[in-house]
Amino acid sequence: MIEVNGLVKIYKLTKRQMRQRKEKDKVKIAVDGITFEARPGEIFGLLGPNGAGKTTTLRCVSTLLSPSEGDIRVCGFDTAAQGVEVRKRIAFLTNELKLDGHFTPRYTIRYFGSLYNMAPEEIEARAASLFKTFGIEGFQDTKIDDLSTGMKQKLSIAVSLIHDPEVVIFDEPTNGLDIITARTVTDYLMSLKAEGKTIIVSTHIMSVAEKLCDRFAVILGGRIVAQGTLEDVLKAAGSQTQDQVPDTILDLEDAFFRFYQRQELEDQASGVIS
Amino acid sequence: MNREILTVLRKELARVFTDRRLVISAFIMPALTIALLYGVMGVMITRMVEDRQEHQTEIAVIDAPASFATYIEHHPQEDMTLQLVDASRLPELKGLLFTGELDAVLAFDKGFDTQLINYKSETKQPGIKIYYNAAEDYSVDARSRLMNGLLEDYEAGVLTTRFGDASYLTAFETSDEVVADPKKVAGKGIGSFLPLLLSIFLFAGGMGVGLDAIAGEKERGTMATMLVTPVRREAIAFGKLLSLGVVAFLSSISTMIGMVASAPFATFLFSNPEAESEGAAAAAGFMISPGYIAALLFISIVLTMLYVALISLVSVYARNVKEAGTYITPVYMLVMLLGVLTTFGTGQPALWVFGIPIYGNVMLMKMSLSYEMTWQMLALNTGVSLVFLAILVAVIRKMFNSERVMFNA
Ligand SMILES: Nc1ncnc2c1ncn2[C@@H]1O[C@H](COP(=O)(O)OP(=O)(O)O)[C@@H](O)[C@H]1O
Ligand SMILES: [Mg+2]
Repeated sequence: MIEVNGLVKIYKLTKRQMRQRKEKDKVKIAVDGITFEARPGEIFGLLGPNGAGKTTTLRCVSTLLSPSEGDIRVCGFDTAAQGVEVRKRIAFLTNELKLDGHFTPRYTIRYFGSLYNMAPEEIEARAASLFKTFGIEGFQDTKIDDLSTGMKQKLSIAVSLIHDPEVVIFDEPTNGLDIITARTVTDYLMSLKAEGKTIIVSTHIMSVAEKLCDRFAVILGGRIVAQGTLEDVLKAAGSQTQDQVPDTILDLEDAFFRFYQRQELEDQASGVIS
Repeated sequence: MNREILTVLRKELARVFTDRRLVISAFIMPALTIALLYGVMGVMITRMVEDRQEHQTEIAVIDAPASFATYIEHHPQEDMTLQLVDASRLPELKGLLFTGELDAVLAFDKGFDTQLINYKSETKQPGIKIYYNAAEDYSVDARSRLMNGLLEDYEAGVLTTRFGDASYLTAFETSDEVVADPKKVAGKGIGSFLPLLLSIFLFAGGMGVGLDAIAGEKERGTMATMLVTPVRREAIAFGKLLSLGVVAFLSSISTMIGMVASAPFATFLFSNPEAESEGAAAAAGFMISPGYIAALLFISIVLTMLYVALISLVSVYARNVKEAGTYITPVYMLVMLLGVLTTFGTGQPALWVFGIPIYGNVMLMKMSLSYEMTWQMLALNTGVSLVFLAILVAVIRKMFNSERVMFNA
């Protein structure tokens, strides 16, 4: 269970960042008061374009960043005050987290297992089943540097799931994966869901979200503009247009564009240049 | 917490010791380089000294008086060739001196012998002039061979003829005997350069691996992977600090071994002019009592931890290895400068000196090597070092917990 309550995350920009981003403000409000809930046995999707605030939100949920305002509970533990308890129960996957290419998969997974305080036999059993699922068995003793990109990504996922976490947080799960690996990953997420895990993924690819997720939150500019099941989101997109007939809204992508256009209109009206 | 630190420490050490590139650069290269450098330097210097000793000095003699000619006829000089030359050729001889083809010109005053025989206390003494080239080693040697050998003997011969016995002219004889603790003398020999080198080796050893282990891991994203596990950030920081300490220490020991291995070829490094024989003897086995080794070990470990903390602090703060390299350079220079400063100055340093971090530590090592360390020095330096270390570790800890530092956020 993940409960996000009025989350605000403000980055303080350094002089260099201000120059690079051509920002005049000293701060950047990346997430601006979002509230949602992801439940066990479901896959919750955070949808939004680049820069919407998805990664920031997921980093806050994973305790890597602390909220500027609001609070987050994971399995009942507060991310800010009980970080260790939260981290025991989650797996956080993103492209930015890498494994040291010098070690072998076997060494790496044992090391991470011991960081989760698992017993050696427990690690061996779990590692064997994960390696089997992701087809890494034959490469256990190959240096990670020598593995293919797809194999590396699968290994990253296997390693982060070593402790059989209750909550799986996945930032852009299929980003940069080849179709076969992507399929392995989405299939595995489905099986985790069947096991009753709480899963939250972020993506900017609507087709992926539509297939994978049970419920969604659409984020634009750090705010949630719609939330709920696919039906709820499509309806919400329809109700925002002048013509009440949502003929043109056939899927999530159409809905998303409606939200996006509306946001732009609002921004123009309030004189914000984006 | 301790178990976590141990897990991280083990992995960090495995990282270094199973990486051929790191093992070569941290342990093998420094030892080889230093052994080679000192070995080659030692052989070259020895050869140079021998060559100068064996050189046959070429000397041209102008206006040689009969007494001198007779003298050299009766006392042939083994290490020099003397050639009697006409005075008119002096300008030409000077040219040869200048180019190094001739080592010295010995010019007697005209009528030297007559002046010598007719000498009364109020008349002018006959003179001898030595022309030599101060820029040529052979020529400098020629001058000293003339002054301290041939001419001295020749003068003694003249005086004997004049007074019957030349020893009338000396009022007393002097001789000397060294009274010193040979350990202390030997320690002074090693003590003057060893602490500086050890200090530099320690820092270099920690730096080689430290920048990559922290800034490199941040840059490559492998650090963040550890941060999402339940392991406390402190455990990661301490595990890394300890492993770096071990690596830096072993690396400096390997460098020392390289140095010791080169010792037979580099006696010039281990001997000291005040204690030629004692110094050389002690150099072979300069680690003497267990207490001596324990003191040296303790001081080195404290210094290692200081350096490792400094290196880690810089690496955590930097966003990538390149940046870390830029930031560490001035720190490295400061460490070298403080080390070099300890080789200056004479006499017993004041106690407060040992309260200066790094400088005091290197100085303390110097004192310990020459058996001059007191408990006050040790206590003050250790106290200050631990406080300094605690501050560094507190800052590192804070940085490991800072999202700005760890995620550039
Ligand atoms: N470390 C940071 N410092 C300053 N601003 C940041 C930082 N990380 C992200 N941002 C800004 O916050 C906003 C949200 O970013 P992010 O959460 O990465 O979005 P998403 O993952 O949806 O693409 C963007 O405008 C981004 O530029
Ligand atoms: Mg993102």
